[in-house]
Amino acid sequence: MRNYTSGFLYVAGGILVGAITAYIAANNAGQEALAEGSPWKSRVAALDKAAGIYVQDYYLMAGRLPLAPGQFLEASAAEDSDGNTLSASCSYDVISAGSLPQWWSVAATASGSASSKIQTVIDENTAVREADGSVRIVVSAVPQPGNWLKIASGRAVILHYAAVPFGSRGGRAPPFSIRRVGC
Amino acid sequence: MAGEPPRFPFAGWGADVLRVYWIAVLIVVAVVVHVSFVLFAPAYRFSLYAKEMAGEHGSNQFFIVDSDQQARLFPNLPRQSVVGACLYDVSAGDVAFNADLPEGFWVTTIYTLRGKPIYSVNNRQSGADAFTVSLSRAPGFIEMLLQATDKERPEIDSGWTVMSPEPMGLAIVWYPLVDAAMRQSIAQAMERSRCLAGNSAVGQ
Repeated sequence: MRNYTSGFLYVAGGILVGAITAYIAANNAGQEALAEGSPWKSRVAALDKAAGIYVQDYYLMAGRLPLAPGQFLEASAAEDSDGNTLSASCSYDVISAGSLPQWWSVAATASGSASSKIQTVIDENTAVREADGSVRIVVSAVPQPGNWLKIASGRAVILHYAAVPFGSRGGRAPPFSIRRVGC
Repeated sequence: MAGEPPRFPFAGWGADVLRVYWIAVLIVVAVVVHVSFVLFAPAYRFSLYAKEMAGEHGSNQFFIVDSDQQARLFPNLPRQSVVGACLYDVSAGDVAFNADLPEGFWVTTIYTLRGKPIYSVNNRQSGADAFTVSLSRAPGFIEMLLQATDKERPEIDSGWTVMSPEPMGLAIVWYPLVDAAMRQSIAQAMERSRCLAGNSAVGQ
């Protein structure tokens, strides 16, 4: 009886290991930094590589679809520009530098999973520009004047970027730096 | 001998050999479960969600996605955008996606139900806000071999043709808005688009 029980435990352990490794691989595979020193990473390039099936699963598990690689740039950031993990206990300034794509958006989620609800989205059509034409977005759990991305307090934060880069405007890496203002 | 209780099949094995055997079983089971999960589970779950999203429209019908479903499908796109979709099914024949879109910036993308984008076009690339995409099932390996030796090749429809490696998928139109108040009028204009099954629908 003991031998059958231990055999069953080995089989159950195999099922658990298989399922957990698949889930972890789908949530982590394919992320590539878009520029040296940039906190922004993208999974889109991996769609056509060996890890592509894990990237597809990342989206499908949450009922999402990846934005078409030929039309959009899509990236996410879990750290600020100084390499510190983003936290909902802190406030951040997301500031544009240089020219922006014809259309872009920045959004925030409460965790790294694709199934997390986006709190708010700011895009080219709704953003208020600074006097010099740049865009400053405040990411905070506390209401802020101007462009404000609300985040849920007490949880990890992921920022998401999407853009339609017509012509050469905007480049490949998101033209936004992420600076911690205070905690 | 008669009367003896049944013996465990591996009773004569040493403890170490038995342990190695069960670890090997664990690894094989883990690999099988891992591969099965990756290949089937997320795609199956998404197919259920896509069918739920299509709702009463069913397959091969164009519909406007409501804002909650839109936020789930594309959470990093503004909710005030208008998203139209067609759950196409080419298993029984070609499907024509007749897009009739309002003037302005839009992006149309064709996905398989595994979430792989297989075609995309925007308003600038299209050059027209009204166009037809013919969706058909990509031939399998044997079919391709037969077609290569068959002197009578099937006719290729004029216009755009997209071959899907899977029988079902989603054709998605995304139209961003400058002003949320425009959503209803843009959605009404997009509803002129059609998703029609059957070769007779191509070119309409």
